[in-house]
Amino acid sequence: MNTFDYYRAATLVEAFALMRDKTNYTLLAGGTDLLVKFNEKIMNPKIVLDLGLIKDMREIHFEGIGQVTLGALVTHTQVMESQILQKYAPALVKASSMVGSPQIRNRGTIGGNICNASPAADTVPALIALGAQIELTNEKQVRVIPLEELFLGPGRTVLQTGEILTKISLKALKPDQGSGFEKLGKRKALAISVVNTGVFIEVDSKTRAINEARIALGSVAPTPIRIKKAESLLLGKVLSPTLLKDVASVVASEIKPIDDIRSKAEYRRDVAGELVKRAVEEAWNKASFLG
Amino acid sequence: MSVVGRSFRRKDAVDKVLGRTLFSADIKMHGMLEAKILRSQVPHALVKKIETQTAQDFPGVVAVFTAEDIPASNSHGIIIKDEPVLVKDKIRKIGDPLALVVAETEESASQALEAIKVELELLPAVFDPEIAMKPDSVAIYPNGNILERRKIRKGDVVEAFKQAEFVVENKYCTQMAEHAYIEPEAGIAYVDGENVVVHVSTQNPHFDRKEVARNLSLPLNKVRIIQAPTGGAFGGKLDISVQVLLALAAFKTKRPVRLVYSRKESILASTKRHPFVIYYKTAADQYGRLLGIEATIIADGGAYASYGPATITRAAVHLTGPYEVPNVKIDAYIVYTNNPTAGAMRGFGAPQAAFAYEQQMDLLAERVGMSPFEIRMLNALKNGSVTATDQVLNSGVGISQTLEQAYATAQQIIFPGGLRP
Amino acid sequence: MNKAAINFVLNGQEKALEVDANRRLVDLLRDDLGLTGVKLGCGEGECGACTVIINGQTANSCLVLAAQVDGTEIITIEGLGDHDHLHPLQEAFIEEGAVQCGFCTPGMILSAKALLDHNPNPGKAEIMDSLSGNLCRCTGYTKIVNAVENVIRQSNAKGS
Ligand SMILES: Cc1cc2nc3c(=O)[nH]c(=O)nc-3n(C[C@H](O)[C@H](O)[C@H](O)COP(=O)(O)OP(=O)(O)OC[C@H]3O[C@@H](n4cnc5c(N)ncnc54)[C@H](O)[C@@H]3O)c2cc1C
Ligand code: FES
Ligand code: FES
Repeated sequence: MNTFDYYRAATLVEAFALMRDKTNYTLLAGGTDLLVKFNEKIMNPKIVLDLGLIKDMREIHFEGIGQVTLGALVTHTQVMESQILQKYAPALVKASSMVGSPQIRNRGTIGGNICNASPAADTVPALIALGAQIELTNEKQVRVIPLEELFLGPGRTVLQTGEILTKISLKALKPDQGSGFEKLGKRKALAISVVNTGVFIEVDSKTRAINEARIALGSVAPTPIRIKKAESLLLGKVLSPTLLKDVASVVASEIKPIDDIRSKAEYRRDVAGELVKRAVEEAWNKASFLG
Repeated sequence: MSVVGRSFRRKDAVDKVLGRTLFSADIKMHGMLEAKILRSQVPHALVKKIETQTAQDFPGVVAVFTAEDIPASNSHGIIIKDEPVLVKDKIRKIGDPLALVVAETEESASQALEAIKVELELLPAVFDPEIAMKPDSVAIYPNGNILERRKIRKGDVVEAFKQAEFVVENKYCTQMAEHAYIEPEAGIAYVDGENVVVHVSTQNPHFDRKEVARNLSLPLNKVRIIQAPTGGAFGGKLDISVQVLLALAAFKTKRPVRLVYSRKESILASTKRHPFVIYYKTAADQYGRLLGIEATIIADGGAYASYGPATITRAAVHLTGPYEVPNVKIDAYIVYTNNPTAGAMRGFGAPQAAFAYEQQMDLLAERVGMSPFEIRMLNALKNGSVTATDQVLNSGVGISQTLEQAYATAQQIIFPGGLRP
Repeated sequence: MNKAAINFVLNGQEKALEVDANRRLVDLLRDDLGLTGVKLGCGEGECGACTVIINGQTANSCLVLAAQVDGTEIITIEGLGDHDHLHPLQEAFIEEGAVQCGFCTPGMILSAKALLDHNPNPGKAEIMDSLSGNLCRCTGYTKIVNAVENVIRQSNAKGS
């Protein structure tokens, strides 16, 4: 690891003061992505700014207006143990529970998972499916954007110098809504996704037709993506084996996976369809059971 | 006999659960230096020049060693001494060691590594053993890339295939595998009077001792190897890793020297399971009885011989499996490539062979219309059977009984009601 | 490069140190504080040999800066027991034959301890999950899981 200066902020105000006039800093949350890069000298920061002590960025809240908010420093373990999220955002809970290992989940944060901008990040497709909005804050202002608009490419985001991802907000699932998450890795633990997917659907409690759907996938393009063509296929219909099959084949033809060390494009295509099928079923079962 | 059949507490377990066991990387000595190896980043090249002066002058650096500094031999290998301790003129794989830096701290040793300048003449490399075997292939060694060949000949295979009712023919490929013992290679060496002592994570202290003595031109009784608690090995710590370099460094600097591989370095430098290509042809009569086998094994040996010649011997004699085959023709080749060196790993070539012969049996059963169990029972070796190498197995052949018991147990698990399929 | 002042509790003892900004926790523990029961197997979060418990939760000490542990409480294998007073998990690992080369053992025991401190009566699936960040190349895991189950069984027997 190369040398750098280290600063620790106890509050957001302190963090912005430390960031002021600097461009060459690296924000540190849990460090599970960064330390690997520092050790391997893939990244050689001059200044490391540790956000880890900012307490109010570690909280999960159920807001009165049917909204759930998570501070960016919430860890995967916190997500798994949160009763609020178990109830209102089960796909996210499932995604976090499949990240790395207990050690990684204890320190790795949602904000870090998002801002690292890996196309394979597990919580991102779940969050996109759940309609996540993120709050990017700098010293002067806050801007709120849909999560899927954050990513430009592998490791690249629209986050600007001076900005911190502070908060993620989701609409709490209602009884007629359901979510699902599926991941395929090479092993059950410590495996980066070959493909992952998050799904949200809302089912009309009378007709049982699908009113609303979001299908997001990771590891099949330079950034996590939504497959809107597959989403619209679901709308107005009751789930059936044929419909599931059609959705799977639309997914397979819409994505643009590549060959890399973890898998081959062809395999990813096959698997993506199947995973989406399972996640849609999971979301459907939850929505229709509750409704 | 008082210990046979009884469970005992491991003597070493108490220290291990307490975290008190000192593995090589845990040992610290007064005045200890740290060593780091400069490794090749290319698979095949001629070394024109290694410039070490800048690294020598680096703050904290005590010494930089290259091939020139090795008193004798500069070679190691369990069967064939074809691997250099430090490369003198030819690089044969990524990870080949070029120079050793010894410094007061790990940090200065690492930084000094980056200051060493190496001039190379790159050579085309070959990674496929079937291509490497061809006479017109890139030559990794002056005498060609085929390191050794084993032949087994029994009976008349041509006739066997003529008479066969069923022939199954396939190509099997197995992958390279890394042992991935949890403890990366490590050791610490020091001079004790006239002796050089090396504590090291190893499976092969007697071999290590001979290689250190040969390379340092020391009598055997001046070299002491102490096997430190070893964090897994599985065959991968049978070859030389840090032993000779550490002894050299301690001997020359007269100070204790420690060398610990990173995980990346361990994977880069250590041996692997031999990847095999097996062409396999099986002949059987109308009842599924084996008549003959004709097969060729091509093992990718990587850059150095290591245990390769022994591995193909084992693979060849195992290639008929636990089955009686009257007519056999097997050729096994071990071939040099610019891949990581392949060496010993649990089974020495026998698992690769099993992968092929058991699939052949399943496919044959399908062709004949028998169950996989029946075809194995029919062909299994028995007391009195003769192997492919003409060994008469007079007693103790238990494959049939084993199969029967396994079958009965499987029946109980799969059909607990006692129903047969 | 600057230094960071850290105050933390290590195996029950208060520590006040100045550390280099780029010092990893694993190096601080092993090299500066002599706690070599913390093992370095990969340096990338993959093997779990460097596992320590920080504020009741396991962490890979190779992926933590020493500067980040200010204000925390850390337990390493050295804080668990000694020759005369083995921790029940340590006893069970020996008894079950869950220790072979022993390089993964400190991390395994700490992951199991963190689980049992959190949930004294976990099922097999939870045990397996809680050990999923610790690789063992020697034992094949069965005996390790058995050892943890034995501790649970024994403490349940005592409790009832
Ligand atoms: C062994 C191992 C296994 C892993 N397995 C998985 C897996 O299965 N699935 C998966 O998705 N990931 C996995 N990861 C990756 C990683 O653990 C997660 O991405 C984790 O959530 C990152 O969070 P962190 O807090 O540790 O991020 P850090 O390492 O602290 O930061 C990551 C990046 O985000 C930036 N950042 C962090 N917080 C903010 C913020 N609030 N505002 C702006 N920028 C910020 C940092 O500057 C940095 O660029 C694994 C990592 C390892 C080492
Ligand atoms: S050394 Fe930290 S996880 Fe392997
Ligand atoms: S006992 Fe050797 S790695 Fe677990």
